[in-house]
Amino acid sequence: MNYPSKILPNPIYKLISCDLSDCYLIRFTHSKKREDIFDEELNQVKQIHICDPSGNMNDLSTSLLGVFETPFIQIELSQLGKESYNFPCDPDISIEVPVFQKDFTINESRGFWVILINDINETTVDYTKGGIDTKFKATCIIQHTPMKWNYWHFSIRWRTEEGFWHTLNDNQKKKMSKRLAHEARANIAKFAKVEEPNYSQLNHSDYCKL
Amino acid sequence: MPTPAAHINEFNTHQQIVWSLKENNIGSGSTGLLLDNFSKEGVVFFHSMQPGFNENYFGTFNSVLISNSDRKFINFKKSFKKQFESMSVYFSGLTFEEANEKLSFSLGSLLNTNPDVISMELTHEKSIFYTVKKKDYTFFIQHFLNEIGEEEDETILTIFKGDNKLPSYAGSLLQTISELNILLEPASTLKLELEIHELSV
Repeated sequence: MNYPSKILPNPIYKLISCDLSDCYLIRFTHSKKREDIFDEELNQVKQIHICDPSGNMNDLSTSLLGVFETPFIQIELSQLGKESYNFPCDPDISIEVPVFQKDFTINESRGFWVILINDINETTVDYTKGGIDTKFKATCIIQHTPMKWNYWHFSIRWRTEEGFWHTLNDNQKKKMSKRLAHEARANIAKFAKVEEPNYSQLNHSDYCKL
Repeated sequence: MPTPAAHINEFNTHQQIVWSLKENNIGSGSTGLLLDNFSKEGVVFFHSMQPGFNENYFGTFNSVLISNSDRKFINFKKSFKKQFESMSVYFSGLTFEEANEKLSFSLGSLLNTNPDVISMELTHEKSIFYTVKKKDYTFFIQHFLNEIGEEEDETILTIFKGDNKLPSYAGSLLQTISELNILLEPASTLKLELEIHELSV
């Protein structure tokens, strides 16, 4: 099995900064059986499949659907692969293509959920805290965060009045961690789908240097 | 096995029981919420789940005396047990009984809102995540379970009306349920019920 090299960073690539409202983010689930991952009565993704235990709801990893196709969510980095490739990087670095079995395997049991960026990007959280006359505000931001294994890696992050959540110190993080994690869960549960949507490809000029 | 009526008479005379009637239970088959302060687990439960014979009566009352709310409550309790067993590693510092007691209170309160649809799932964040749909509203309620002796459990409420997001709310479980209830049924007696429960413990 060859690694899809088109999803790796590339010297001709740049950071994506165009409007992505009509694009979809995709994230893997640990099962591809619809009855496992989707609650038909509620018409929404089951909570347990929104994020795995090692994931961080406040800074959630996804990929931009397009060049990154739905079958690619079955790529699973090995421990060695993680040590070599599971790091953020510049979009235009040259990188060796991961090797099957050594750096990655295919996990065929994986499914996915997708979410339209427009449904969550710039969503503002406005909290009233019970019993105390304080307000808390945060905004959901979708950021392009290329990784060595995947140029199309995007993060669902939160900008608070004190800065981006992931850049805060531990004390500041702890204060708002539960609320932001909850908000991420709720927004994804509300809008995520488990069917492959009709999606369009970005123009080359949106991610390639001129 | 005693008949339900016979068993009601078997209540310990020293047992302190608070019955709280709800308008919206009229005709539902349920006469209300029983708060049993003598129960070993100290849990809130519905009258058809009487102390000491919960499991024995499951099936006996089936479809005859158990209201939909009661049945949902029982099914959620079973689901909770299963989920807790498989995820107990994420609920360190809490025994099943302690977590079960916390669940009983939040679940009972939410079922009292007569939701159109409700789901309950445990998360890896030591919390119970409820989704409640009623009318045009979707409510996401996350009940974070603190260890006994720690500060009061925090509960967070996110609200959508259709696809439009409304301001969220964070507070104690009582405050959050009260907030939810104000949205759904401004004149509801739920708040009063909760206050009665607080006074009785």
